[in-house]
Amino acid sequence: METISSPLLHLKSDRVDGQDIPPQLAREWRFTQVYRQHEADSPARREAACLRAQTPGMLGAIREGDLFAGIWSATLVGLGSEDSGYGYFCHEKKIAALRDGADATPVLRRVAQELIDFWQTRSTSRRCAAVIAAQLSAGLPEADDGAWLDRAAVAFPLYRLAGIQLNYDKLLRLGLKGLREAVECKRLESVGSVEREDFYTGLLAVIETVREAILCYRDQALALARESVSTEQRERYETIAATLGAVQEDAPQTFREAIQLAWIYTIVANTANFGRMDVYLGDFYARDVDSGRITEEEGIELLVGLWRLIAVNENVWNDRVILGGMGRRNPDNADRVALAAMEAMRRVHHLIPNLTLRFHRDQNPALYDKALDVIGEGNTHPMLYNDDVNVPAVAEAFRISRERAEQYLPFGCGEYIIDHWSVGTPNGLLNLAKVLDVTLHNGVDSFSGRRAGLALGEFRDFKTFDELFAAYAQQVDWHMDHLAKAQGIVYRESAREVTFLAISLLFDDCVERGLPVLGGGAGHLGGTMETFGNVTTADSLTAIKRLVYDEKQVTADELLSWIDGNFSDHESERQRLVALPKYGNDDAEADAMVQRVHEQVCHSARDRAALGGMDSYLVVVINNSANVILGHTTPATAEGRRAGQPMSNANQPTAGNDQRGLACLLNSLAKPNPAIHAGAVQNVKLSPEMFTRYRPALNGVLATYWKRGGTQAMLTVVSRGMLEDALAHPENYPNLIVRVGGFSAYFVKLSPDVQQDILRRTLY
Amino acid sequence: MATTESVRGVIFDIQHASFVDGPGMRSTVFLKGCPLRCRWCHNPEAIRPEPELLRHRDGTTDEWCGREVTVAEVLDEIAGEVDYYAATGGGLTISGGEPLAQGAFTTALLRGAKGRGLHTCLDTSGQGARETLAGVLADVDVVLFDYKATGRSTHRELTGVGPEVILRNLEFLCEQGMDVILRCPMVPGVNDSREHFEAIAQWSRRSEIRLVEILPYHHWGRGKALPKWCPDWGLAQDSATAEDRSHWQALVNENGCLRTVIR
Ligand code: SF4
Repeated sequence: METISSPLLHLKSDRVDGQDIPPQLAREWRFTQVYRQHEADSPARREAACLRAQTPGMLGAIREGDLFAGIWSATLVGLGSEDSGYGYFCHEKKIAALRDGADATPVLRRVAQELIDFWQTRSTSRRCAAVIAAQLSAGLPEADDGAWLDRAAVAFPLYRLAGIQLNYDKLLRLGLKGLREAVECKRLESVGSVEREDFYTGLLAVIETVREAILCYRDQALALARESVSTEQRERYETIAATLGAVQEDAPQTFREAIQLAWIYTIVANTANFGRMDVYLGDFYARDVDSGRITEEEGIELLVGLWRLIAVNENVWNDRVILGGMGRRNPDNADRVALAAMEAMRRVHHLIPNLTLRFHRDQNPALYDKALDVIGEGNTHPMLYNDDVNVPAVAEAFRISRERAEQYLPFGCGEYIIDHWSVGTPNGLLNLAKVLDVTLHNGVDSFSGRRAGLALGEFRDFKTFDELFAAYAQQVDWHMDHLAKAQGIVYRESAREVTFLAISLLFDDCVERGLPVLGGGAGHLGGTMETFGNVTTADSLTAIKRLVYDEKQVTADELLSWIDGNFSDHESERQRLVALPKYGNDDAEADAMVQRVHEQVCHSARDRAALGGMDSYLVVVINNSANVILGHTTPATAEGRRAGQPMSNANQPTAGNDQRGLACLLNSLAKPNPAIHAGAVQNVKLSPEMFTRYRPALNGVLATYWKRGGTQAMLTVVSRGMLEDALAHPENYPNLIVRVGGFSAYFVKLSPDVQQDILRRTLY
Repeated sequence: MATTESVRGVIFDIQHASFVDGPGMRSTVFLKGCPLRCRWCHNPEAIRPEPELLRHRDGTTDEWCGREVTVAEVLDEIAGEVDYYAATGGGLTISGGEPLAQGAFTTALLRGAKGRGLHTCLDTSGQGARETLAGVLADVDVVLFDYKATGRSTHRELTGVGPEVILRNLEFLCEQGMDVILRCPMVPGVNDSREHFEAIAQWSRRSEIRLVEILPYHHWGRGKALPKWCPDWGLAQDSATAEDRSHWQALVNENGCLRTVIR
């Protein structure tokens, strides 16, 4: 009676059609079986079982030369938070590709199909998407997670729990044993509440899972030591084994042990950011170096070893390591690790970790100087964050105390989160240039022809610029309603299914409250949303205001016809638009419009936290390469951009529009109010001479920018002609790293349109 | 002050945030009009004193070059940058063309800049009236003095004028105890004679000359729009090569040039 494709039948078995599960999907099959067995259990119990089942399969083998054990090996079905996949995830497209591959055997095809069928209704993102589709379809496309990459829409929901920062300090202070005791204690107090008891039991299972991972790696290291051909090799593996042995129960005592425990926990928890590493490693480092256990050189080499392991998965959008800044409990020791970490970065010259230096007036200047030295050598790290501006801004934006705000951490491509206390994943995406397009077309997206907003009238119906802007603002608000609600849905729906045990164990105040991170445990339930094309939109509004409303040189219909026709037969008109004031030149008119657009969208989000049941809901003005990708489906814009071209990138002028020198650029960048959002980023492309011959002047320039309210800067160093030459002769530039937005990339590996966008940026 | 700031002049560009025209970060105002005709001139549009049409090399489009401005307009345009200048030891540089050729404007602009507390550089070929030069010195912090060629006939051949006025003015600046940076554009095979380096070495021994900059020629100017009166402006020279630079470095060493750098 069961049809052949019913997952219920086969998932009970380790064999399908009398054959073994193909190795490509064996881990996924096993995980799915365990999930199914526990489907009726409480979320915490089910998750504990699943985590335990998936972890061994995720532990990649120790490699020759590794200084620590632990390589994260991705699966196509599993339990994660962000990079691996969200909650219970199933990478349907990748599994479908296996199924449809030319060499797929019948059994592989069947297994693949059954996994897809099973998770179709069960994966966390699918569950969230279904509710969003049912409740918010007017404003958001029914979208799975990658939809924004290839579909045209004004706004998209995203499904993930990005930027989670664990309390590594707690982990390293207590060790597994201490953590276990603390949780046991709470569990005993919670007897009588099944839910809480289950939760605490789940947390204990996490600790066991980490312990099992440690032991598994220790056995592996010992076996490798036995097989070693040289003394040096054997000693290295023995050291790894001894380090693992030391932290299997007890709190780490040395720098090496601390790194090892933090790293393995990260792999099990499947998180991708490393928080304030200088703080939590600082005391270990100082103690070891001062006692002569290791030299400074050995300390740097250990960090190089960690950087190499972090780099294995090339997760360029994450893997932030934060150094420096206000609110460190051990600044002297932390400074020492910070300097070692930057030196390690200089040596590996890689895309990740995304090293980030926070600094402020009273900080040891050696850190900032070292950062500029490292950048000047052609690294895109560290990114620089100005705490003198950011800490008060974060306090105001999040409506939290200054003390809390001191623990802000940038993650991803530039969003802020409060260290192991707030969640703030950007789960919505809004293309402002499309919002303007919709405003000019009476609620219709002129690219798709579909309704994508309110019908508030045609462009010509807006008699004043303020009327037009009010309509635009209303469209932004309408989309923001949907996005804020969608984020609330993602949190609520996820919380019903997933307890994120490995995160909750090291997240304030989950253990205290006995509640999972999304189920009331997080100290601050924040949400964020990404806006794109901000400057493109503002520059377009500047052009419209000037030509149509102030100078009345052009009618609304005429301007619209140029845009709708993508400027064909209107090149001279396009040039006229291009020549109008643009952001990035310290131009009062253009910059004021950017500020107006910024204020509007930031307040729109900030006022909507309650709609999603959140403590805060904030805009982030960041960039992956979405300015290019979303540009593909964005029609021509009134500042002279042709249809399909890249839009502006984060809080930056559209590439090449900044033409009045570095000081004017920086003045523009410092204008948008930092106290109403959760992060905005800017890239500046500098020539190497700025770091050699003109270094004292560069120091002065940057100091002035910081003083004027600059929040952060990401510097890329390339010489004139280098990028052009790299396009022509990519083989000569395998190691040329550039910063795309919040992340870095090897220039020669980028897609041609992103390469062009970077090339067009002004070089200072 | 009001009268100083209302003086008018003709400029063809303001280069914001320059690092190459004197110490620190500066803005450089390029004045139109120049009595010289250097064979390697990058800026033939600087030569005529009045605004004029430039023609692009492709022959299709024309654009205006040069605009009349007041001192106040220039200073207002850079007002947003002055704290960067202060933080880097930079300021305003007046260049050209030849600033001394617009004596009244240059005088007023320097006075106006000083009135707003800016550090100032005068970038001059030295070909200008002594009274004008003497009149601005109180408002000049550093003189960037172009030293282009050595030998009377060579100088005339390469720049269109003899060296007499220029050398006398340089001597005068030294006598006045001015802070001078000697800037020597060096064009391979054109002005880089041994004799020229000998002369540079002699000047470099003057204590008033704090730095000598050898500026290797680049033909970056090729392809840009040109005034209609000079459709085939030179720019035929090749850019300096690494070999040229090492040859010059050898001449610098042999002749004992002090405080001399090749950029
Ligand atoms: S002095 Fe300068 S502007 Fe005048 S001709 Fe010579 S290079 Fe050109």
